[in-house]
Amino acid sequence: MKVSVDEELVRKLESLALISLSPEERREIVKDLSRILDFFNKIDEINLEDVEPMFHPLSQGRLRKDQPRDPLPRDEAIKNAKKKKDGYIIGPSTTGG
Amino acid sequence: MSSELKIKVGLEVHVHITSLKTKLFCSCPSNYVNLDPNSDVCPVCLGLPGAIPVLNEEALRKAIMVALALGCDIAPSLMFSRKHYFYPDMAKNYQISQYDGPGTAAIAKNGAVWLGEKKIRIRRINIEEDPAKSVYPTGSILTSPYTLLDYNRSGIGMLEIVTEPDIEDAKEAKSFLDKLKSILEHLDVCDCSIEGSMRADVNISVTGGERVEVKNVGSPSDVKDVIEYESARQRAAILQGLKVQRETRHWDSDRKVTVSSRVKETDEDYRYFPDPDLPPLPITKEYIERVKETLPELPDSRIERLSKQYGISKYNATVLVMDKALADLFEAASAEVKDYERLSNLLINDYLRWINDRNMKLSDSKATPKHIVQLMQLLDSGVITIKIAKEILPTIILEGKMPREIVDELGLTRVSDEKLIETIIEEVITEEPELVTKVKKDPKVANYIVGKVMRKTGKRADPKLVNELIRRKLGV
Ligand SMILES: [Zn+2]
Repeated sequence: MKVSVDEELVRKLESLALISLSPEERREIVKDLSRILDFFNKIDEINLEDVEPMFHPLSQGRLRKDQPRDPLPRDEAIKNAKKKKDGYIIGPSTTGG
Repeated sequence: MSSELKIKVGLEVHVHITSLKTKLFCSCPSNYVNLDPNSDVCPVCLGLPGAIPVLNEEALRKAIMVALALGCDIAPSLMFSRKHYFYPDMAKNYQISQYDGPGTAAIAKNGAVWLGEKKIRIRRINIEEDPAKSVYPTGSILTSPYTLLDYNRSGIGMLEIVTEPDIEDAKEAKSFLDKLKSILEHLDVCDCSIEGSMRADVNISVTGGERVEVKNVGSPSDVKDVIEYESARQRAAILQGLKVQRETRHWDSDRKVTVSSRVKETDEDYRYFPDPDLPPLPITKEYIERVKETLPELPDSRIERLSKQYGISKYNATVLVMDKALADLFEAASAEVKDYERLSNLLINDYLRWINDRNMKLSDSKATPKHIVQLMQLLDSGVITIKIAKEILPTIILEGKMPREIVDELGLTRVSDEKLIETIIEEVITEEPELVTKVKKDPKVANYIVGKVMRKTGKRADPKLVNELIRRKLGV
């Protein structure tokens, strides 16, 4: 699958990643992304018709028994949160602007 | 009303696997209700970097049970994908879910739920984790300057059950959800009486319009309201020559309307990819066979069995089984009750109706099989009338008092003394002597006299007996 990288695509990626780039950064990223995709396009040339795709280096996942264990003490659990209130973590408004 | 504008509804039902003792990918206790915020969390469900999720084996077993009960094809291998989005309720910025795409698949596909002869196709079933709970300090998502986050709910195991757009009206959607709920309760997957344990996204379109998605509808009866509201709104728009555009709307359960979501609708781009923390796990045929052997009796066969074993009508059996707790109550009480049809009628027409009319849940009732058995015995032995039974039901349901006790305290035993009833009939006739001639012209007047006598005895007389005595006395 050939993807052409332009500023419009980068803008979409910005919005998906919730970041904003300066015009210079955007031009740089267009170049970087194109280069990265070229590597993949090279790899895509290999004929893999009879090869099963592999998504994990480990062949098999594991399961856990349904037995409860003590959760973290609350103070410790939210220690790293910058803003908190009455045991809650404060996050941004989700409709703001 | 334009009947040629047909509606098509597909549901995405999210149910908590409430029978699990721990969360989906960590060992935090899964019973998070009424806990202090963020007191039931660990590095995994907080989404801290480096924490590794490990699947709860019981969640897999429950998912397979549901897949088997709905007649689905089960994937040969269990795989999880990351569904990316940025939102405060998901600290790691992705939800662990399942996806049909290159190299990954949902756990089950192509099933069905039957509503009598009507087939509602199930497109797929996913296992996924619930996000954290957002609390809005002003009470409204629109006006809150920030969001309060409680991660106790984060990581709770859920199943997403997605239908094809086979549902044709609000009533059918309600029947579908009732049936699904009953199946999940019989499988001991979800105790759907727990607030918020069953939510749905409703996709609805009207002939000539595009698909509208109403997100996060909190209960089956709200789903019915959403469909009624949206089909009326969309039909009206089309009949006025307006376009129904593809959009996401939200359900305002207080005002009973859907509101266009203010968020700009771009193509959802969740950038799914297989979760590298969760390598695939083969689901062997032997494993599926073993789970199949543990499948309990399911609603359709229970309906069959109840109507055969107890000789009750198919209709009654169906109503009982649609609420597992009610069917259980029936079967427990039936051990000591002789008249099964009467028992089922009492449970459906009086007990269940009283609870439904008050928007209560069966699980709120304090009545046990013992209460119902005693109530039936009082009825069968003629100690009380059906009217009195109806009258004391609320006290049984709300206070859990034994029927005998209520009857003794309030002196509600049936008046079956013929002499006494005759005296009361005479009283009525003395008050309204014209009744004697009236009833001879129109035998229906007897019912009026029965009513008078019932009132005078505080509903304690047996209406049949009263009727008989009136007819005998007045020669009707
Ligand atoms: Zn946890």
